[in-house]
Amino acid sequence: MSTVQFLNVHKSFGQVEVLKGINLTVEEQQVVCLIGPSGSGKSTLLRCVNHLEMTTSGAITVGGRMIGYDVYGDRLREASQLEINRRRSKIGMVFQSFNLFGHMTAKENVMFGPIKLLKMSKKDAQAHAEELLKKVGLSDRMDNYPSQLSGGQQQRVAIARALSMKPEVMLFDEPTSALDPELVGEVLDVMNQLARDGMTMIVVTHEMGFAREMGDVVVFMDNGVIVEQGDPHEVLGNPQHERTKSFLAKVL
Amino acid sequence: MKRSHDFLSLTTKPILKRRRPGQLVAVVVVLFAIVYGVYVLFTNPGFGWPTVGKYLFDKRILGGLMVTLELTIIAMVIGFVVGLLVAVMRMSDNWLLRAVSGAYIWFFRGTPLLVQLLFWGFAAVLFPKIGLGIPWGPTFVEWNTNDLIPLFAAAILGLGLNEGAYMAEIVRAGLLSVSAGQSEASRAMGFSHMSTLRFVVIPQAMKVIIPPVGNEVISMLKTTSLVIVIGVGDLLYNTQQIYAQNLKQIPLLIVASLWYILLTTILTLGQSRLEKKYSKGNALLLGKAQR
Repeated sequence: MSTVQFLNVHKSFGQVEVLKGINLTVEEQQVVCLIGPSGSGKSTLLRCVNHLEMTTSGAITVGGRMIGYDVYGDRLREASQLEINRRRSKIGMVFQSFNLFGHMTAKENVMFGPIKLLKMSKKDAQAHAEELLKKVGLSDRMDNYPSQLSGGQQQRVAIARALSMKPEVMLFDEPTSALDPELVGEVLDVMNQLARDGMTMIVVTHEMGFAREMGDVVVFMDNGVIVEQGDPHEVLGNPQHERTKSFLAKVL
Repeated sequence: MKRSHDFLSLTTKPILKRRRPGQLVAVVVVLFAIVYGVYVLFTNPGFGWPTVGKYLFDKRILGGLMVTLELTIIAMVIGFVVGLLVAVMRMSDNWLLRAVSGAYIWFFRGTPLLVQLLFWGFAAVLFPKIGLGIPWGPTFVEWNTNDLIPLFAAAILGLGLNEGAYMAEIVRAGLLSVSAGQSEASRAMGFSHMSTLRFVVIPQAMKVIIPPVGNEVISMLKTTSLVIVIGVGDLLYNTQQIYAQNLKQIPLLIVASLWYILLTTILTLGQSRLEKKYSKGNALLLGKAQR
């Protein structure tokens, strides 16, 4: 597991600045929940971690290494694609819309990365995939295609797929927002288990219950800056800033 | 006025279908037309059925058929490869690649195929010699264009490059049909752009690409007959050669048509098989298979 550090991260889309200098440290084995209104920049921040978005300035390190950049003289330069791909493979990501590969079964989805990227033998990858799918409670749906699975099942396969690469950090981008309310619980259960196993996790979420119970730190973002951060019970129970108070009043 | 209980006695028997006299008239007319058509087909000696039978398996016809098949297959392979390349270039971040691929499609769709074929046929006039070397610099090897590009190769270049332009648009539509989230998930795992295309995007694009490609193959089979303008001995060319001698135009054109129809039928069957193969994970078809 690794620490993740955000160092003065700025990000603009054209004229619009969506991240205005984010500094944050995620310690090893910590679960950090990013909350805030839509458009606050929390998803963008998460996508900067594995370089799906390129920061305008500032850097993010995972385990002490920068993800998208190399030092070039006295400034940063975007790293080569090959290097970025290599560093990305250590970071698992789970998306709001699952994004399981539609032409592969659940098991094939989980075997795909290990076989092609980690050069695992097919047999080992299969055993590994079966173990992971068992862990997320889907032993009986391994040969189903994503279109035959419910949203909650698909998201659990997506988590198993991310774990198949043996990541040092897991990123969750609103993992339960696209689910029917009754399916949210099964995904949160898997995430709870993962947190208890000591995975370093950064979770963008609207599930305040999860943030309170599993989060080591809750970060409230608004308008591209971190407004407030700290112990979940403190931030959620006794918010100090007006903006945090009015947001929580609406969602709790 | 009747009350609803007056209808009650009528509700015990199944409801009769409405009469459709117009349809009956149409059926009679169409049936008559079919019967008359068949009658003419067999009684008009001009069709020359014995001649058709005599030439159906003629060596020259079968030889031409092979050439037609070769042209179709090779031109489609070139078309698909070029189309894939042009489609990927067209979706590139680089403006020059986008511009070049756009120009390619613009040019090859903008000029008649017949003109392109004639052009390749006469390419030797434009570049009498083709060599390997550095532009404006020394040349290392050189060939006569007429030796290097025989007419068959000219036909393939003409058909294949033209097909590439149409195929590019088909492939591009297919690639666009795969949601951006699929590539994003693959890139986030650490896959390169090329691997993402190869393992994630293209396999899923295939189910959108195959039906129109099937159309293109069937269309190409018949479009190959245009190569007679540069004198390549395909099915139609050889047919023409035979009836130029014996003047039995209609029977021989029937022979050619029978072969074209037979091949089209086979290709249509092949297409539906391929579609099934690439519909893996498709919700609708999976549902059907389970029922």
